[in-house]
Amino acid sequence: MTKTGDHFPESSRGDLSRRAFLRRGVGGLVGLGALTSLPLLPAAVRAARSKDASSSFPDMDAFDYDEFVFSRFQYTLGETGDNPWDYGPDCDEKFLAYLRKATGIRVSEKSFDERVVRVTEKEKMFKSPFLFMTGNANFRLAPIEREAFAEFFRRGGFLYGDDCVVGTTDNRFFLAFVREVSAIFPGCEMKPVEADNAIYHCFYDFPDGHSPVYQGAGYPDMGLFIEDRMVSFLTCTDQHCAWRGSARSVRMVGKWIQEAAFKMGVNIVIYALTH
Amino acid sequence: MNWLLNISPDEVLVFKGLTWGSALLAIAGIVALVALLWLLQTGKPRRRLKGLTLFLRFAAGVLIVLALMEPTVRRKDVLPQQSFLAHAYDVSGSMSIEDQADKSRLAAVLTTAGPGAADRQELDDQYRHVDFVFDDALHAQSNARAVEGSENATDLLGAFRGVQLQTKGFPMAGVILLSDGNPTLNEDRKKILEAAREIQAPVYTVGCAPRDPGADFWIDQVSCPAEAARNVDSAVRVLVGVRGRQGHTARVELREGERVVETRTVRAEREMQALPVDFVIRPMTEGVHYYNVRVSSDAHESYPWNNEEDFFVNVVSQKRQILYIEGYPRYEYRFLRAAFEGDERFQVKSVVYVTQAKHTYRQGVERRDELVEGFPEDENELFGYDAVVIGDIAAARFTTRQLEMLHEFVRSRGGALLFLGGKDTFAASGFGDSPLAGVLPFRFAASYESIDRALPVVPTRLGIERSMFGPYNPQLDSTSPWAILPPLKGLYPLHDLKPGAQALCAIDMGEGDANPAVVAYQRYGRGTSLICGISATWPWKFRTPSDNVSYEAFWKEMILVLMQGGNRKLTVDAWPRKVTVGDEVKIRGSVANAQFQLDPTARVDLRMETPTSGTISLEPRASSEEGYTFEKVLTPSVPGVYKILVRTVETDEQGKPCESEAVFIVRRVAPELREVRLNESLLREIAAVTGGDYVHLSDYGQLKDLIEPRAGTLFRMKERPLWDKGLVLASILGLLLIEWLTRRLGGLA
Repeated sequence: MTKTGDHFPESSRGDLSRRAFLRRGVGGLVGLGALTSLPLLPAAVRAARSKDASSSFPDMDAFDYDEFVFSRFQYTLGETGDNPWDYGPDCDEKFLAYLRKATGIRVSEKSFDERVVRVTEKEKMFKSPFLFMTGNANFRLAPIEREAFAEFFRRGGFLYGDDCVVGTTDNRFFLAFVREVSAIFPGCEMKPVEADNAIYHCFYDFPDGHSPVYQGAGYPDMGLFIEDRMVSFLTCTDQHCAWRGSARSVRMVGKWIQEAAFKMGVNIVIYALTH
Repeated sequence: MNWLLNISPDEVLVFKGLTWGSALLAIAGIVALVALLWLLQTGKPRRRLKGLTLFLRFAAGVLIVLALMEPTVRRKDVLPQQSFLAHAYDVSGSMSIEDQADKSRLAAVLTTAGPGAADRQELDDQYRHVDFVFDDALHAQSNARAVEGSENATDLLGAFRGVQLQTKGFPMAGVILLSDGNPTLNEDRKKILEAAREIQAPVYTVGCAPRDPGADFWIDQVSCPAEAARNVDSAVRVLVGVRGRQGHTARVELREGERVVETRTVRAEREMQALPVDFVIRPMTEGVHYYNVRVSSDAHESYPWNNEEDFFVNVVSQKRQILYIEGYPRYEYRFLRAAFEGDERFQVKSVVYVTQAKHTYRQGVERRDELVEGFPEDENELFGYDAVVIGDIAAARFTTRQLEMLHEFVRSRGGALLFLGGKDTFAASGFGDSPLAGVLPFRFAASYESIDRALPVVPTRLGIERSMFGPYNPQLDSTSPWAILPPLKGLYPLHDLKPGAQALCAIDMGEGDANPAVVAYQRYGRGTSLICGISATWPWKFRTPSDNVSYEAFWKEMILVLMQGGNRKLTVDAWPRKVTVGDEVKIRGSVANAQFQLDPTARVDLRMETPTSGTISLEPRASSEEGYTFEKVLTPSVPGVYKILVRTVETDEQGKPCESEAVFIVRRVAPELREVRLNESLLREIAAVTGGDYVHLSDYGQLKDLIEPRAGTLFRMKERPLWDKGLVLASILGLLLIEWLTRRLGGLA
């Protein structure tokens, strides 16, 4: 296990992956289709708005307080990205199945949609002490979100971010995450996590002190610390995609990567539930 | 018929003699006899005359039968003199407060409702009276004119129990309680109400203090940690009570000895309120630190004697050792650990079971092999802790030996055991049959179901007194400190508390004192155990603003309350910790051997530092109380701080004597004089639960209309016989005479 992303130099060099190529191709076709249907645009916008307005953000109190809720944080994209905030719910489910099997943690059975958290009002942040963010695009936290995150951390919340590397050339999500989270507490910036941090050893042992690398640009894992407590953990190694265990990942890295990413995920959750 | 017999609507006609059956038989006999006579009658009677004589005979016979049935009119009559009415006069210290137009409260009571007073006389005319006086004891008053005040505390609970004993079996129309309603002994409101109810007669309460007492600033409550760490800031919150001083300012001064620690100014915004004043203390030396807080203002004070309060803080250098064992990783574990992190008074070592296969994650351990099995290896290791917290974990996780060790940890070692609720502990735990069953303050059922909705958890009256969520006075504050805390789910009501268990928090189901307990504790052996039937309290931290420290305060105070008392080889405590000049203080302590078994033969050197006489030696005697080996009762006469120092004569395994200390404060002003308000809510509640009524002393005269004769015991049946009359006899004789004359004159034989 290495700390850098040398396994996938093509990603860090900016070459298009096959998946990204296909995605962009499909995106282009869809774009062409959209241009041809410009007259229908107002109705589509209305429909989208209607969907947004009706998308109820569930009452998190539907959860048992003894259950662990793997909440997905819905953030606002700063620019178009390949993977939006809600990318790969199937990856979450696979990981949670592993978490249930490997530990005695009572993992909530609620659906992905029920686990979504968005900061439209500050108090909505404070339903679940664990939040997960992923994506591959640049983003900015709105002032209300920044303020809410500051209070979220002070109250004891934990935020895990993972850069979904695929298709990007410049680790936009990772860099945006570092920038935005570092700005929450002036003078308190995200910094590399030491190898002896409990997050690498609390259940499974990662002696190298780094998350297993599926793909990424070679940045170290980063943490935001309030006094000695790590309140946010960030990986650029695409743990979330590795949880899917796709044929591509097996072919490119080996079958071990899914298991290793699962184990890292378990460690992150246990860390959040014990620190 | 009623009109004929002159029977009024409240009267009934009954027959006390022959039954209806016998009477009908008798009438039948008469008819038969009359018929026989008809046949046997001789002579030449005129038919009409013959009929008349037979009718007369028949009528006389029926009248005789009716007389033999003994018709009687019954009426219920009220007999006022058979109903008793008791007066119970509060003569405690607070009744000597002179705030009733230059008269003391007791003097005002005697003028209005004392023996010989006009309104009292009307009641005495109507009922048989019995008088009691009470303070910290109840006395029957044979000479009611000799009611005198005392300086003693008020024991309403004892008063009700005494009245119940002394009036048992009497037809009581009611008990009139004349008091300001401020119990200063046995203040458990629930017990007071139960005792009042057991009298089985209506209690009419009379409020004997001004409805609108004079303007006043006073020190209402002081909340501070029982223990503080050396050279570390500790928060002290003082509640300053204000009445009738809107717009005025007052100075609140905190002193340590003669040194002024800090002075604050507060301004009253309302006529009646509690003003929180926060201080920070930073004691630099180990041992007991004694503080005094006082409030002063330029305005006239109606009650100047309640303007200061003493308190002390025990500064320790040794951290309290806490072991926390949790069944699985969960937020409760994370937040509870965090509550104690960074606090110099505590060292928490924790074990959380991560998998069913007993894989554990340890935090706070100092050795590589420490707690590696998830539990201390032997008693020596376990007894090194001051408190053990058992999380949501099934009994099956522990071996019988480990459970027995925990039992001894509480009983012999004097440790504190916190038992946190959850699905595993309550649903199918098996703790009910384990060695821990006796330790815990409630009886485990086979399984429990939690309440299926989120409900608020609120402190009981005891919890409020112990400032579980910070200081609060419901009479002054409209918003309680726990109002901000979100409702909780996963609540397990503790329905079956053991005798001696004390409830600290309850589930707010809108039933007042009948709300089910959810946090309770009890002493067991030398130690204490607490059960918390809340599976997750972390929303109190995570869902309240980050500057709210109620969550941390709640858990730390809980641990400290539990750890007070016998948790070391040599212990000593003073009870009560705050007394007034002339009150008794009991010094109690225990000595245990190396195995933490009590050693009644161990000798101790007991000394006391007094405020004026230096250090004096005390001679303890053997204690008969469970969990203690020696005791000494004192009656201090000088106000101030008294420090008790005890050391063993024999040395321990390191060749040193064990030492321990305790502190108590003797106050100048009795609690009786601190609490000057009329406790109308308690008096109303007493009246309500017993079926009585509440009136203020100025309305004492209304009682004669409110008190009703006691049903079923004070009515007498008055009887008016209808048959035992001369008229009846005369009628019978008249009928027979007319019959005889008719026959004679008519020539009948």
